Amino acid sequence: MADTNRSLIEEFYASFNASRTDIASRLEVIGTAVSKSTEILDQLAVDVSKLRKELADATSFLPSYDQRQYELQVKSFEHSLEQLRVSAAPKPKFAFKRKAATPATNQTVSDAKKPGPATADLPSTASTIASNARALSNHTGQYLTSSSLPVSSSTAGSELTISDIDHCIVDLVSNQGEGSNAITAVHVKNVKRSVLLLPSMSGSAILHDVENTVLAIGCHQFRMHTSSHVDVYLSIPSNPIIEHCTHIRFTRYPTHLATSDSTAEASSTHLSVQDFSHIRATPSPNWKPLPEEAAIAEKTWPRALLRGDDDVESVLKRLLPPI
Amino acid sequence: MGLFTIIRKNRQKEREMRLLFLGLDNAGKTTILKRLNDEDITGISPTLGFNIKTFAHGRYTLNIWDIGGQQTLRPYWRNYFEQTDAIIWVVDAGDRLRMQDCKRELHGLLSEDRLAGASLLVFANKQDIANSMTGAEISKALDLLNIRSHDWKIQPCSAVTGESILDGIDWTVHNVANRLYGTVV
Repeated sequence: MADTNRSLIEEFYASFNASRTDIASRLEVIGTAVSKSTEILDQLAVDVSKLRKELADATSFLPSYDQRQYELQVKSFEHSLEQLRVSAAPKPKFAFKRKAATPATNQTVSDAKKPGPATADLPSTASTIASNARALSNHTGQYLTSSSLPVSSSTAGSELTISDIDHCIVDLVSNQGEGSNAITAVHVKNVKRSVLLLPSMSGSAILHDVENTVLAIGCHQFRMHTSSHVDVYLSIPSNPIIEHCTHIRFTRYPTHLATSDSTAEASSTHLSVQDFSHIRATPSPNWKPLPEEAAIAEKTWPRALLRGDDDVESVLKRLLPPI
Repeated sequence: MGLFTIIRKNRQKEREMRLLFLGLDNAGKTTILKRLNDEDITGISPTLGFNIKTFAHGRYTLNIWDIGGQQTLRPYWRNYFEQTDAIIWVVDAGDRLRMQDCKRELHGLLSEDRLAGASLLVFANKQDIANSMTGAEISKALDLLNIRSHDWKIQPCSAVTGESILDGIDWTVHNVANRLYGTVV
């Protein structure tokens, strides 16, 4: 077995080296070229991802040191390719307008009036292990705010589960409770034709089965699975992840909703999306930046909505992404 | 000299252990690893591929493999099974919606021949978040009590605060050391 492995390792070494020399020289050529043809870049991308796949397939027999070296090499190719891509098509820069942070509303926190955990009226989904989870679930055609949430009994930040929501506007930004009710992480499942307006949180957001929805959120990590037709307004310091998703559009979190920490907002990497269903250097067909003109203008955000005669349905009709 | 003796001798010389960090995405595998290594945990992106960290723990050298947990990557987990001494299964204790998935993936792993005998540590991570599930709740949800094939332990912890991470690693190293070398750390 040792012998077969050795010959496999040698064979891999030879073929990897050949590809490496080839790719490196092509990268150099295009690096010095004045105009970078996207066609050549695409071809390179295909070859680099082929190399990555070969490496992945070889992990079963390669010694770990070798694996690491190969991995580094492939990474460096991907990196230079990415840089070439950026220089070939400079991204349009956008600038943030610093607005004086509006004080987080002067209304007294309405959810403070509920004494103790108010979980009794929450129907729990069969699949959910209920216990003392904070959850917002099973709502249709409603306007939901922080006061619809059960109050967290603890002073620490807590995790929130949002599930089985249809035709709703969920606004957890206006009227935000101070401290005791802060949300640190969110789990979202099965949300259709809705607007979810969530605050910035220190933890992560993970979403499944979201359809035809507008979502605004600030979080540390963002993962979205099996979703389609979602406009995501995002502030994030790491790479957002999508997996098994289609028709997702990303843009920045509305500046006037950002409560604090505007520096974090400014360095947001909401367009560094990684599509795990499309692990290669070519651009993913499953997401794109939300064009400025299609984005919801700051003042039409639901925060100011429903004060007049607007009903949930007509607001949704106006805001939801086209299918 | 039997093969097992050779392996044992060889291992004794190296005193190396190979630990595999696995779990669903968003569990906090990379964050725990970085916390162990005293690295900055603020800018961690979800893992595409894997991370390897090697560091000394007592008399042992730990080779830790942290493999991405996104669904697309899970079929690749098996590429890393060979010679694994312990599986560190990381759970997001706030992720009630996916406990079923978590249980299925874990029990799938435990039935793998190549992981037979490996110690199993379950980190119930994110205890810093107020309403996370407790160790007992997670043991029940993941049906840990019915595991007979592996030595296991559940350790509630927080990668963000660093709480109890070392305790979990200590248990793992002890357990593996006992099995491989017949000695305690």
